[in-house]
Amino acid sequence: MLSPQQRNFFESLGYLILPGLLADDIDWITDEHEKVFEKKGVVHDGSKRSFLVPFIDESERLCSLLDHPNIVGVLGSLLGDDFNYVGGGGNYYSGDTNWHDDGGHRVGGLVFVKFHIYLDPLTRETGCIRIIPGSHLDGEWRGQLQKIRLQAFSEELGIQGVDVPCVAAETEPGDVVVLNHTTYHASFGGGPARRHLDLNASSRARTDAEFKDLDKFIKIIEGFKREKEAKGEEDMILSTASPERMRHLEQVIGRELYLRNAV
Amino acid sequence: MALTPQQCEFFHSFGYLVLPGLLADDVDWMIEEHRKVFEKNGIVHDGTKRTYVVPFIDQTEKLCTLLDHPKVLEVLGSLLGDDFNYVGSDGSYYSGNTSWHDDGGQRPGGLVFAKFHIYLDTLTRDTGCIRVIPGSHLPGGWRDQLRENIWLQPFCESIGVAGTDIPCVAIENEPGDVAVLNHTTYHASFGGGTARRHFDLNLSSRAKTEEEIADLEKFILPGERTKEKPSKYAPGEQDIMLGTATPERMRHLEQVIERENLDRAAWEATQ
Repeated sequence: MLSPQQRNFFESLGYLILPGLLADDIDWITDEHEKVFEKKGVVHDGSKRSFLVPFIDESERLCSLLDHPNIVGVLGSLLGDDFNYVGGGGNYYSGDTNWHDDGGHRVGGLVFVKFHIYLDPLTRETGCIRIIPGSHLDGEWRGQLQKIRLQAFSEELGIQGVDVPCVAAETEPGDVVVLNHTTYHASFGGGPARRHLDLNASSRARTDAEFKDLDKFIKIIEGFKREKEAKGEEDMILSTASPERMRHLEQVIGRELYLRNAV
Repeated sequence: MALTPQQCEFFHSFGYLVLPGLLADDVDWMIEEHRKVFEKNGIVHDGTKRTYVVPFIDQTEKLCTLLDHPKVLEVLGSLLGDDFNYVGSDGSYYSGNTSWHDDGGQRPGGLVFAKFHIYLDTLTRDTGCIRVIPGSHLPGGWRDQLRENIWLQPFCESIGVAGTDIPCVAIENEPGDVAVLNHTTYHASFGGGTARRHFDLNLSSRAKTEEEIADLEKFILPGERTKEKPSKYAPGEQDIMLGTATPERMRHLEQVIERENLDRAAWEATQ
């Protein structure tokens, strides 16, 4: 469980760093990360980012992250105990990632977060995630930062992405960084094989506007799910789900059915 | 040198601009004048708390010439327009921490005010340099959160971090460096020594609309005039600045004088 101060920090600044949250689990998570890439036949050669979506859904052990008390406690504190799991990715990052947010899908005010798990030590200069505090909040500050997304930032402000004022969330394996999807982030100077995985989660949709947000995000990830279905692959996260885990899957499943029937 | 469009945009986007070495050639005489002003005012800084003098550059003919200094004029002209207003200054010996705050509150009329900070000592993140929160000058959710969590609630108790740990940019500086801040940008300093020398100029863009004039008057006019204190300034305080002003300097004084005179005349009519 997070403290009220940690929740306020996340709501005010748009991110939260949780050092060592998964330190006891990092060995098996790292091992499963490698296995998933192997299973999917993806060989990372370092020349560019390699990624898999969905990711934890590909291994029964990784699916159990959705049952992990530390993860459920953190996401429950930030999003409510009935939060939705809405997919995630696994990566070998290579090189820089320019400034961006993950929140282009947001229209109705539903809160989405990304729960970042880092498997390598990363510093400001070696590719740790950099964050612009407060960039998740509507207003003129966020409006100014849209220039980043338009790639006009360095041209207009006379600085490079690497010099944008920010917080560098330096991490050790087992540390976790949670970001609001609308928080701007980037990384610079990293090596060619930085291992990472993440879970996306949202609060439970209750209003029409929030359902629109959720549906929009579901449509984004639907293509990956259909691909799995077409290949006849098992939906492991569902088939191995406990009743408690189902709580975090049921609303998305319901909306997927609704959306498919609507089509 | 005039600022580049990119530097101006940086200031408008982030709420501050750092100009390393801008006044490096002038730092020796500014340090001497800084000392003289405190001496002239009979203020002995003993380090137990901040001591300050307001107005400051107005107190010596040499410091008044900062308003004629080509580099100062070009920077302020770039950011606020060539007809910017000088609206006062202060000089300090800082001692200890300064908690998070802004200098502006909200400006309902939208007039832009800036503070031109001149540092006379070497300062680092941990020895009292100014720290700023990028984007905090802009209206919206970010500024609202900061107001709630770091200004209204001392020590940031609601988010569980000390003021010194608030995410920010630390503007480490050498003597002669300049930092320009929008008045509404949140800033602080932590860990500094007991006699950090500093002074600043406050400026605004030229007020053109009724709303902007209201903003300007709120800043420059005394809260209440009395027979004992009919003006914001003590007798003679403005004489050096005005008495030594060139026509070019007058451009940066005239709107403030005009508004001050209008208000004073209106007050006198009621007496």
